[in-house]
Amino acid sequence: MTADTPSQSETLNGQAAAFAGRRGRIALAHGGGGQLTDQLLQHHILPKLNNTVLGDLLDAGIVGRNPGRVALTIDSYVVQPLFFPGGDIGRLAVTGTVNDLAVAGALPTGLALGLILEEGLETVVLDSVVSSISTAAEEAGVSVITGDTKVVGRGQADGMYVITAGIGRIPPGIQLHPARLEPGDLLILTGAIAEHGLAVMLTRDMPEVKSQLRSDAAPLNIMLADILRHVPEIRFMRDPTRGGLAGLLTDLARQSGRRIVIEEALIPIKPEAQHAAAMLGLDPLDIANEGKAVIVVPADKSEYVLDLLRGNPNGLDACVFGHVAGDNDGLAEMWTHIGGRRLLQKPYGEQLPRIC
Amino acid sequence: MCLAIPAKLIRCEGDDGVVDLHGMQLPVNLQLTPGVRPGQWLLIHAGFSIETIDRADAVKTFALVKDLQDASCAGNGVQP
Amino acid sequence: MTRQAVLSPGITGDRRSAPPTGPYPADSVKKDLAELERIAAHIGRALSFMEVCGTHTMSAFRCGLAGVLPDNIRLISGPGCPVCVTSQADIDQIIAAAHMPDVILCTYGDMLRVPGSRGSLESARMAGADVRVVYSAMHAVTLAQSTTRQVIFAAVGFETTAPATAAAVMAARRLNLNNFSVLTSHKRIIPAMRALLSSAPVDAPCVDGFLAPGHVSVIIGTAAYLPIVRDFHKSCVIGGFEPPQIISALTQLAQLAGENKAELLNHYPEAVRPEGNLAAQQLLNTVFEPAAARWRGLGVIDQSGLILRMEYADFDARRRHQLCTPEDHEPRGCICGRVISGAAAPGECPLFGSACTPVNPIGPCMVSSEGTCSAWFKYLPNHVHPNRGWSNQEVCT
Repeated sequence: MTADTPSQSETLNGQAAAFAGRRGRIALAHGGGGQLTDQLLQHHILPKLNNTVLGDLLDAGIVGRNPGRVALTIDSYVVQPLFFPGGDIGRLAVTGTVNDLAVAGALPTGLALGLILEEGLETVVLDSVVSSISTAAEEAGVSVITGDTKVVGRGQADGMYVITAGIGRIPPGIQLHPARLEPGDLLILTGAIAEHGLAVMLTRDMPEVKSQLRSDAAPLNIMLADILRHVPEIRFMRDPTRGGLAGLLTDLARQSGRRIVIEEALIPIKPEAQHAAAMLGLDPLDIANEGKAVIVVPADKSEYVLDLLRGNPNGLDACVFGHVAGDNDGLAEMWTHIGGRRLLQKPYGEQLPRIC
Repeated sequence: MCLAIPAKLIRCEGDDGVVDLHGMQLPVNLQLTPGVRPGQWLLIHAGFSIETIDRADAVKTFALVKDLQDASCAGNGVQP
Repeated sequence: MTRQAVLSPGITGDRRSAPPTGPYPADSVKKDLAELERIAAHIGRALSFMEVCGTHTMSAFRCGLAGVLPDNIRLISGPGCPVCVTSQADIDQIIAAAHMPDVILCTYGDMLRVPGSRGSLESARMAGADVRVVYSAMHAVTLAQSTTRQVIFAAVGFETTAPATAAAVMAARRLNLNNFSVLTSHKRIIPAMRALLSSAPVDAPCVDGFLAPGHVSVIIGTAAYLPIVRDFHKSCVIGGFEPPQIISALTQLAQLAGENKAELLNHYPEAVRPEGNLAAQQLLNTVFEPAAARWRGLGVIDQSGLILRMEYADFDARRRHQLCTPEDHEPRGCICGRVISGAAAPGECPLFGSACTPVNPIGPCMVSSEGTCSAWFKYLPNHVHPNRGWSNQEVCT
């Protein structure tokens, strides 16, 4: 989650807002992790709540001094449908929060779980989701140590919502921040993109389509802790969830002030995801992932990091896909197959299938 | 202005068909391409097949989708 | 320890230890680019080719085509984005229809955020209207079968998309559905190309040839372009949408321009036949008839629209719901009309990039993901400098 650039938001005049017709109401796209989420934070959240930790807008808030720094993160899960190929809302609630801690360099020590249940929800659905939470937590080696449940009237929630908060300890010597990026650093992706978002979208919006795409939801904490232990020089990590790879890279470019370059030919994506995205008219770079991380490493450490990643089931397809360039303009760009270049743009928010 | 993708027809009944797009099966309306048979490649736009294409061309278009992907890999998941 | 991983298909598994120095073309396009470079150098003068298809616009911008073309070759975007050419009045009418009580308005995802003079379908939905995004026109018919509420299918689009609407209308008639109607602004590309060439405003671009739209051509066939070639002495090369296909079509156009020839060539023969798709044409003719239509920026063009024939008038949402036609006025300061006709580049618009951005679009060329303004803003590395120097006039000598 990150904020809009002041230059863009300041120039919005009343006329534009009136034409856009979104004065004073929340759009679905405000929750998409894209440009509209940025605006929501910038205009409605940060003005009243800002402080030096929150203002960094990283995956987890980090408090305390070295040693003994602690990372705290929270996420709400409202995915529809509750069950989709490769996972469900319960698995997502664990992996999403655990990964937010993991990319902050923290070793998760415990999760807090909130359940908001709709009147009439079948208990077998609840049981199934709680089983998934248990399985995923076990996979991540972390426990749910506190929780809360509430029930709301029929129609007031979509079956169930899940909220998880996570707390973790950051080992001494780990310093992950966009400000640490240096020209020449390489960008590594831990695997192929766009599968989670597509699997959910197809299940929800096009149930008539049969697809082999599965959500990639997976806890990355054990793998990432391992590479951080071996390569403490790692500059920064983040998981490309809502907003996709494009959202992550544009944020990273702006937060670091560096030019980020990726190469189209190197972006890992499986053909089935490529074709599903093409059918829906979507850019795979905009689509959410739940079991991938982008890792920025000094160039001379990249081979070692790749070897470590590929020794892990969640990192078999890890590869280098870009680098940090020398221009300090805060832009993210892609070098394309034909040798051209184009800017990456944070997606708007709501992913809509297009036919044109 | 119009996105269209090549896919192979795997079964049909009247105007209703199902095509295979790299392992993904989606229903399509066949009335704009009357007389097509399973095994033929079609160009799909907004849930309709708008033209037939031959397989060699379909694989070529797939390959162009991701330039470096070789044609055989693009044909995976689609049994001849 | 170097692990020889077995990678999934589609993944290069790049293991480099230093970044490359600059963008590089894939081997498969190097030859074509060199050929285009050679022809362009030989011709010497500046050439402008126009595409009339939003998917061509997007593909060209997304691959950074402008940066790899020879300096004297330019691809400009004509009236090919269906959302962008739809008049403000038509968009306002669709939004007004969504606000009617007991109506479910179905449309393609492309339309959801298009700004009318007050709000969009997205904001209508926020305010409680039942707006649903469908992937196929048939989904709207299926929905109408399962509800007693009125279902309106709103669609814009050229000849590729219109047959699907026609099929939906036929299906609704077959099923005797009295709660299904369509609200369409379908358009025909050839009359627009003719209008662009014949009634060119003084500042309209000099076009040295057209990159013709592959998927429209699937329906209308190659022969449909003959009048453009014959009457206006402009080459038309029908092209596919992948960057290498666009480069090869441009190479052909440059070659023809260099020889001062006007020809019709089909560079997308795997899908485009000379006669087009006869079944689709027949369906279109059964349900629709050509009529004058208003285009944003181009005004009213004779024979350029498709309206429901009298026999199908029951399925016309305008008639069934007695929708009034709003007044047509384009947003103040917005030059989308001139952008669509190729007379201005987005960077010349005073609103571009400041008041008008993809998040807060004022004109449809910014909101449509295949609009020229949106493509400029999103993909051109120097959008941050709105006065980036080249306008459509510059190379027009």
